[in-house]
Amino acid sequence: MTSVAEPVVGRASQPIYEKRAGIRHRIDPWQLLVLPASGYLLLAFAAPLALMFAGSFYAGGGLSFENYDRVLLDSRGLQATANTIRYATWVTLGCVLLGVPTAMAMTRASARTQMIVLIGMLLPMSSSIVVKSFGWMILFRRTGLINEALMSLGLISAPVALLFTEHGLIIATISLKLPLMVLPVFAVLRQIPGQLRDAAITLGAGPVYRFRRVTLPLALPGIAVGIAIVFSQTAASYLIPTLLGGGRYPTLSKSIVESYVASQAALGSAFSVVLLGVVGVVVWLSGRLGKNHQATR
Amino acid sequence: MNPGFTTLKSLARGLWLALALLIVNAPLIIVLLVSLSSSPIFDLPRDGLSLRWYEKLFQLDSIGRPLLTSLWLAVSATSVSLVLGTACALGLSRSRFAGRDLLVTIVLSPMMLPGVVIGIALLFYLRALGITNSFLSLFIAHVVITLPYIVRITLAGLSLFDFALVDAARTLGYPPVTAVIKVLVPNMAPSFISAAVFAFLASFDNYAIALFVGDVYTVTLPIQIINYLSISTDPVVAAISVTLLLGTLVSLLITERLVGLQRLAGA
Repeated sequence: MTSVAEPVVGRASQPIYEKRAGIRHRIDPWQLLVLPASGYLLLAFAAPLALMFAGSFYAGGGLSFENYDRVLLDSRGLQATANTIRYATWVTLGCVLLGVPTAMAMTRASARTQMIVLIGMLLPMSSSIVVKSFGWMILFRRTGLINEALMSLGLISAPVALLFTEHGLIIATISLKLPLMVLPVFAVLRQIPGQLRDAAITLGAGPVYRFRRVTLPLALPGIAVGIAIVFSQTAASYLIPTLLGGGRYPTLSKSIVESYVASQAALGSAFSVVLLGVVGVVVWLSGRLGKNHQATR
Repeated sequence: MNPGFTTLKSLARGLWLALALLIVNAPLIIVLLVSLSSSPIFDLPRDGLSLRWYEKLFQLDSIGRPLLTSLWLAVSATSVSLVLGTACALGLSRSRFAGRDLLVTIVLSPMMLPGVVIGIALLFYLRALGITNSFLSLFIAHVVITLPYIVRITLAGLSLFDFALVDAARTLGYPPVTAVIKVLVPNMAPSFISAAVFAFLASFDNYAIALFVGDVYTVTLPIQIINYLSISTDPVVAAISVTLLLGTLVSLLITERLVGLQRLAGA
């Protein structure tokens, strides 16, 4: 019990009546404003997900793990899970390696260049994913622009297969998701005061040391957000692996749709729960990555 | 530092940025080029530009209905989301209560969750409730997926708004609701506009939910384009795509005029 005499350290702004037991909390009228949206999401979002979760344990007229057996023990289900994790991991890695230097270059560029790059990132990010996947389909064809360019440069003698291959799929997806990494990292980096860099230079820090000890720790919260968004969107994407990966590249999202088309709703639910689990773990880990560094800073 | 070395560095930086922009925009550039080609299959315009696929676009009657469905869906879902989401953001920014952070996470989570999962979950649920109207089902789902955009952008805008202004207006004699309408709404207009634009685009582009919840009579535009892609190699798809792209560009430019893109990227 908090006694009245005890000083409330560091909580001076909080009204004292909230701390004392026995006195009812006054309901703030502003608080009521969250109710319509919360109620809506409870009915149209949380309840359906709960029902789906329950449905994933339904097989043969009773409760069972049969659906999960088919996802995690069956070879095709296992392949879908492994493909999804590998595909999303490579894409996320590619986006970090390309996106962080891009965001760093943006912060050092003039205001005009920044504006141009920003528009050039926002336009593809906000345009239809169907349109963008379609563009990559054309680029990747055997007689497509990439093969023609590589052949006329003499780098290859015969067309390389890009469409319906895993490396082609990964390259295209990195291009499609790159803005989702660049923008949050840029948003964090541009808040770092320029004096910090000058101070590090004055103290004799070289470029590598400066990157490792100044820029990277400060950019980590932005990188963590980027990792969470890029990984979850890549793992969740149905259209990109369908159009660019071909029929022989099962992923979790494709398996969800296929199960539904084959009227195996409960199996589709189990695939959904596994996909949610994979995404959830990565989002949680990236959240810790962002927070840890804030704490040790 | 050596001035020659500095120039070299800024040149390298410029090249890197140009390369990043090329990588990200490559699919859009190629679609634009294909749409201007006269060849009957997907090909680059080799002998002159042509607008024949754009002409064909206007004769196509299978695109009008999906376009109207998508527009009507995006407008209605965005409007309802804007009301629910603004109220929610106001409540979240003005009060502290147990479970507030949890509520923020839940409200924002449809943005992180796979669209196909939301789609399949809603399909079961609405069937169990006996709701079979396809447009109504799509509408219910699209409010869920647009709500996070509204709440996130409005919440970011509200964190910069000084609520003392509302109190000042009340001291000067406005009743509470009038004070909010006269002071808060004009101040928050940029946030409302950018929130609405992003919510609209999220709804208009969404294909994952319509894969499950749509039916033959309620086909949205993205689904119709996917159907086209799987049956023909007619470059009219490229013309449709470029038209959509222009729509996106116009809405981004309007937002940039009214709000400023820096703020959008940071939000």
